Amino acid sequence: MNQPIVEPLLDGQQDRHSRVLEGQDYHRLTEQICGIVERPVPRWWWPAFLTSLTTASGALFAAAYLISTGVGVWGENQPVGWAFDITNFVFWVGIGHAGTLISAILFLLRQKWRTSINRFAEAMTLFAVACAGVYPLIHVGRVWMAWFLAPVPNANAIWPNFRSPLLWDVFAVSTYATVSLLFWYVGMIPDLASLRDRAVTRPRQVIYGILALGWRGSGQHWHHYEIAYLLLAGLATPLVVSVHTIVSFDFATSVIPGWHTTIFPPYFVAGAIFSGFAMVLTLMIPARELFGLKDLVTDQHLDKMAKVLLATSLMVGYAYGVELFTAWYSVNLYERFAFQNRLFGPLAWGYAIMVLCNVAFPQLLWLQRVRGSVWALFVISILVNVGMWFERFVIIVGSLERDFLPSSWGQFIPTWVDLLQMVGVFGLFSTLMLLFLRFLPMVALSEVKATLPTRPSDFKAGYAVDEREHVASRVKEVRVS
Amino acid sequence: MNHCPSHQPPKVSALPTAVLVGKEYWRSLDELFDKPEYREWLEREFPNQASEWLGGTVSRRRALQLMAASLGLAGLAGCRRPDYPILPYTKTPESVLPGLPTSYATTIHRPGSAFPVLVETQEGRPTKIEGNPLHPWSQGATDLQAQAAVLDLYDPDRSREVMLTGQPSTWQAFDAFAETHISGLFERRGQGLHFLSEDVSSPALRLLREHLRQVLPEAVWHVHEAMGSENVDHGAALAFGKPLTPTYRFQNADVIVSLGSDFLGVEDGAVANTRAFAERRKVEDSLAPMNRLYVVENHPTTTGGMADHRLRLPASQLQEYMLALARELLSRTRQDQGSDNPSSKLVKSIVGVGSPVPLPSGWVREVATDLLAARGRSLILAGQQQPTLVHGLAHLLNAELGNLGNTVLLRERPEERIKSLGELTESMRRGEVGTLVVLGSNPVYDAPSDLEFGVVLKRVPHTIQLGLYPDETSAVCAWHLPMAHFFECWGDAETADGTYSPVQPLIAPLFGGRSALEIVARLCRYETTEPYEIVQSSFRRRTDLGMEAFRQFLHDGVLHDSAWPIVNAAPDWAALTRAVEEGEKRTADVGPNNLELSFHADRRLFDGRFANNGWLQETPDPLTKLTWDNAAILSPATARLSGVTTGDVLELNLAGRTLQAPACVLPGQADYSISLPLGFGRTRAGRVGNGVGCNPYRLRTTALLNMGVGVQLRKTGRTHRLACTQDHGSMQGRDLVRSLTLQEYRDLPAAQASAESNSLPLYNPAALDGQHQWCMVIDLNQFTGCSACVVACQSENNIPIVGKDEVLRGREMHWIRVDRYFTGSADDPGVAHQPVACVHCENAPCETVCPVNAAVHSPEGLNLQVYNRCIGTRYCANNCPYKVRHFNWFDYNQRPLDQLLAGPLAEKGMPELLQMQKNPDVTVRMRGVMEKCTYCVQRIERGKTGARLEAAGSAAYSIPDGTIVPACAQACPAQAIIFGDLSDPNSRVAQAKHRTRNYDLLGELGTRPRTSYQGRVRNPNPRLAATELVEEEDG
Repeated sequence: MNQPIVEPLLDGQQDRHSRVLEGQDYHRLTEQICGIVERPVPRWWWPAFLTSLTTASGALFAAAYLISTGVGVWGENQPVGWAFDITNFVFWVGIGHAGTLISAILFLLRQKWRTSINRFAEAMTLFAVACAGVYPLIHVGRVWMAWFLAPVPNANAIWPNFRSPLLWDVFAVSTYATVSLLFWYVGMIPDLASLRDRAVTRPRQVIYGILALGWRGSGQHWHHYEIAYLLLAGLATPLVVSVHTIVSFDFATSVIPGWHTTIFPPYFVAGAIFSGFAMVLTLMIPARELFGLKDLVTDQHLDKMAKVLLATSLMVGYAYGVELFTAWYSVNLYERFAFQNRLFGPLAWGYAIMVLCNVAFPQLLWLQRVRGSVWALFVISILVNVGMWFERFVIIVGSLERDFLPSSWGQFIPTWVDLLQMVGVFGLFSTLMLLFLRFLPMVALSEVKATLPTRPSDFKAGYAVDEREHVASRVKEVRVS
Repeated sequence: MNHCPSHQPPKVSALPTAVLVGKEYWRSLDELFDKPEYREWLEREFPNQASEWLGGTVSRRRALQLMAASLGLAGLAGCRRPDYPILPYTKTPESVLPGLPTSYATTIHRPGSAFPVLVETQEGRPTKIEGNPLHPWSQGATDLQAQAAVLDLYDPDRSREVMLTGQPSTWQAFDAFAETHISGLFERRGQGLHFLSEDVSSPALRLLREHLRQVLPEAVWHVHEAMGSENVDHGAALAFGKPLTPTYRFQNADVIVSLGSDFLGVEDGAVANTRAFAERRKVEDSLAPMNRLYVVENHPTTTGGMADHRLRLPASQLQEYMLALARELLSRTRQDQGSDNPSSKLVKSIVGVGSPVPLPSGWVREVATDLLAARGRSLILAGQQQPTLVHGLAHLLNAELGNLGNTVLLRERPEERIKSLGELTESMRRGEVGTLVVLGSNPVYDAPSDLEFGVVLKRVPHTIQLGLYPDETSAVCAWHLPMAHFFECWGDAETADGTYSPVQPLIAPLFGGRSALEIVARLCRYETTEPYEIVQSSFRRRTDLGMEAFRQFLHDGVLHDSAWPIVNAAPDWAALTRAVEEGEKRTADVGPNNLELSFHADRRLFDGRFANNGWLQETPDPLTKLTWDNAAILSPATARLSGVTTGDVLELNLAGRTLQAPACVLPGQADYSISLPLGFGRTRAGRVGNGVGCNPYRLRTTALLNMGVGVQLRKTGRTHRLACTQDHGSMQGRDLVRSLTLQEYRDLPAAQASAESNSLPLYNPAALDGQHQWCMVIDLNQFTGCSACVVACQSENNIPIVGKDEVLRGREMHWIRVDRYFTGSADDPGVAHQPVACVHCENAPCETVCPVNAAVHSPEGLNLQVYNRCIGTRYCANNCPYKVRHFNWFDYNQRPLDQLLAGPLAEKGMPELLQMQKNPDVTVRMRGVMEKCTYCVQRIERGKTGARLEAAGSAAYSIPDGTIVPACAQACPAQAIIFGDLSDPNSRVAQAKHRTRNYDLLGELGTRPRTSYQGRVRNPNPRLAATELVEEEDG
């Protein structure tokens, strides 16, 4: 039990050099990260932002059309009552797992290499959860009545139905969003203070000043901060597992063959981590190129993430196999048909994409060469994103298309509104991401600094860098005793 | 409100003052209608009206006129009460309580027949149609078209004004024209005056025709029906020497052989037939043995679906089969007699003709054996469209088997000299027709195309058409007169067996239409033009009874025992022998290089008269499951041969005429035979029916009226999207429709029945502690798939239609769907129908997943959907294993169907006319909510309220079994749907649930559905089954 905690600490000194390239020091680091926010925007930013914003407004238009006209503008039908909406919801919620996993679980496990990517991953998590939240809201037939989901005391004494997994979803996702937001924000306070201190214009001083909540970097502050962060990490950790477990309950507790599967909770969580890490890679690789952060987000980082990707890919692949085995082993007519249909039915192409992208291609990550190639990693991460989208699509739509009574089998064909909504939400995601890159420190400065090799000259900057190590070793002592 | 319901029919004026107010409004409106000023005002758009006020030139007189007009309109909106004493058929005869519907008996005309109905009215608005339980042709049940008739009444596309050569005119103008025109005709004793009507069997109209013959002896009356019964008449005439009308008593028949007769489907009297037939399919309750049905036909029909044995034969070979059966039967009944007897001669002539077609040997031998074993208890039927000879031989064999008087009754009806459409066209070509009066008929659309009726019609100097719609024929006629719907006018009718029933108005004409009686009476200067008085005269004349009996007649909606007398008749062997010898010698046989095309009436639109009825357009055909289209139906073998798949547009060429039609590959169709349902491809039906499907009448000629051999088939390379509601016909090895043979059923151990799912519910189940526990049993053995229940439910529960595009997306709203499965081989399958609506699971998967508690359970076992709580997550529909929940994807009730995607830019609001049809007891759902079968909860509550009132406030009340009937069960001609209270051990449902063939659909899921099914029991002939098996193996 103690091993994983102790070991990174023991080889910490040696590890530091591989984590951050030689020549990095506190000042340079501050200049590098804060500079991104302070310098004029790079040339590519505005075109990218405007494109994203335009795409995002497509989502707004599609949603407005949907709400004003009826859910019928989507391609959903009887029997496929959920299609792109819930597929995209699960897809985004899944992506939203990486941030908290990296921040909270890896933090608790003392995986120090996480420090240069955790801020970025957490931001991605939040935006992904925001994108996910769009769908359950707009997919209902009467959006203006969606407040019925909230347990509002009313004269009719009508409560929401607490037996419904959809209601569990509401609570699970909103809790997750809240905790993730807090975790992200709390972790960012010291860095916001840096930005405040370095700000040269009045508006920046005010805004970052408010956001920094009066952080002065005193020992007291650090003390409270560390405890708060630790507590939030502890709080967030079960959520990483619970959110996607509960999302999977939407399907697992139903009666529909292909949905009604006990393996879903672990299967969905593994898939979520898988897709989350893939998305972090997809975004991090171009970001570190564009902002010149290769000395912070090193090839070592990419290598580690690739290994996580490989591990989760194997878990997902195992789940695919077990699903098929269970269907065969159950000798249940409907269950067997559902999986036969998944393999050979009308959506067999989707299943093929899913298996290729999620299980076959990631196997290349066994090779050191592939893990070392930025391009290969980028391509594989995108393929995993595609594959994970199709996994949800195949499960949701494929199972609904053909369930118990062959008389009511149907087919789902997306409309332009479906597609615009989906593309638009990607636009929303990239808009939020670009705003984040522009206005907030994309790397957790204080945490990275804590991992830098300590030299006397560093103390000139006045940062109490070893505070973190002390807290951690106290934790270690408590646990060992 | 203040209807005038009473056993003793008061004149409206005799009712209390409250009634008079309404009546006064009505009177003033009536007067106003006639005033030109009012008309002028009415026709002007409202904004123009403002000029009257702005100009400051409004005279006192004008202002009062306008006020009077608005008062009149108020009367129009509120009280559309007819002006005559109507006898209600009602539970509460003394008075009508607001909010409670009142039923009136009336009759719907059918080709050569009629259908008796009760119409439920809500404060003066007809909203729902039920069958008339007192009339033998309904016995309380209805068919699909009768259920849908109420929608026609409120069709906004109905003819609204008199038209003269396409320009709006008035009734006054027409009356003036008619008066002068008729004077001229009277001088010429009616020469050049021709009437063309549908085959309306109305004694009142017959009375007027008699008068017409007296005053205008040269005038000629023609009758045209696209799917007429001439062959039936000619067949009877051939067999018996006079056109006797056969009626059948299926309840007496042990063995039934049907040759292309869809007696449970589109043929006249199907409701009564189904009831009598189903009576003998009741395995448990009936003392008489279960009947056995053999069907020989080319295209799958409802009847074919019920068959114990079905033989696919091209339509052109049915006659061969009849000859072969006749030969087999006669040679066995009369084998001991000499060769001189008429039977031997007939057999000889049959042998002489020779049969070019090898028929499955067992099908002749074993069927004949079965028939002979059931002498006097068997029945041979020929379809209405079968050739005369087939009808003649069917009569002969029925006589030979001793069935006359037992299963076949011959009735003699009054003969009348009526001419055909062909004769009319001839006269028109010769220029002999000066004035043509078309009454309701639409020959420009549905006449055989070789007559070129539309072209010839233009040569007639004076043409007058009375029609419900401005249709294809009115486009060519000079005068078009709006016809009153049969719910708006007086009349009378006879079913095909002569049973006499009234047509009563339930609502004053919505668009000022007149009935055919009124027009004919005016044209022949009958003593009165008031249809009411004509009907009274007709009643007195037909029955010699007084006013008291007339009142009873109106009340009951039928004159009991008024059918035409049953006569005895002997077959004319010589005539039949001659007919066989003179019959066409068949040279080329139907085969891969010689395809056959047959026409048949569509199961929903019939001959096209119902084309503008959205309910019927959207009802899936029970066999093809097509909506909003017809298609050329091919067997899988024919399709393989021609490389055709469903949806390919084919060009069919029959005798030089071509038609493009989409293909629909349907297992069960005879090989090398293509079928085309009529009734589609209308060009002037209205907004609903225009351009839907293709028009097979373009291929239909006088010579090839029902079928033609040698049709050329060519793929155009284009495809057409067919809106099919069910794409998969296989049960995938799941026991959804359970089926047994009679023998297997008898051998079934009783213990097997109580195998019930013992799964434990995940949550505490709903407390089912109500006084009643509602449940339903559907007997698949009696269920024919006629789909009357689908439209009955639609009409009762305000279910919208969604249009073809939405059906293509799989969004039809019907609360009941009729699932169709094929069993056996793909080429020659059996058909099984299964109606599925919400089964009201006790452990309902939909209820646990709804996040807002919109799907809840009642203590009486109803699975309820709370519309105003529903937010539309659709989770319930996803989790429903039966897929019976329907989502309002758009505001189907508020937006025109062609503007659904226009969203907020579309017109909003339901036309007032359509609002009038809605059942006030059922919420009209908005978009974004889920809906499904409620077991007609409004009827349950009404029944409970009634019972409680009767119990006078005491807590203990009981509802007799059968008091509460959901719309589907009430409509069902086969009585396949039983509804009742499970907590009453003597109720029919409770008893039925104990039968061994009772099963829960998907019961293994542990949903504990309240609706259960009773497995099908088939009664095959073991010997024929054996030969079929051998032939299959050989083949």
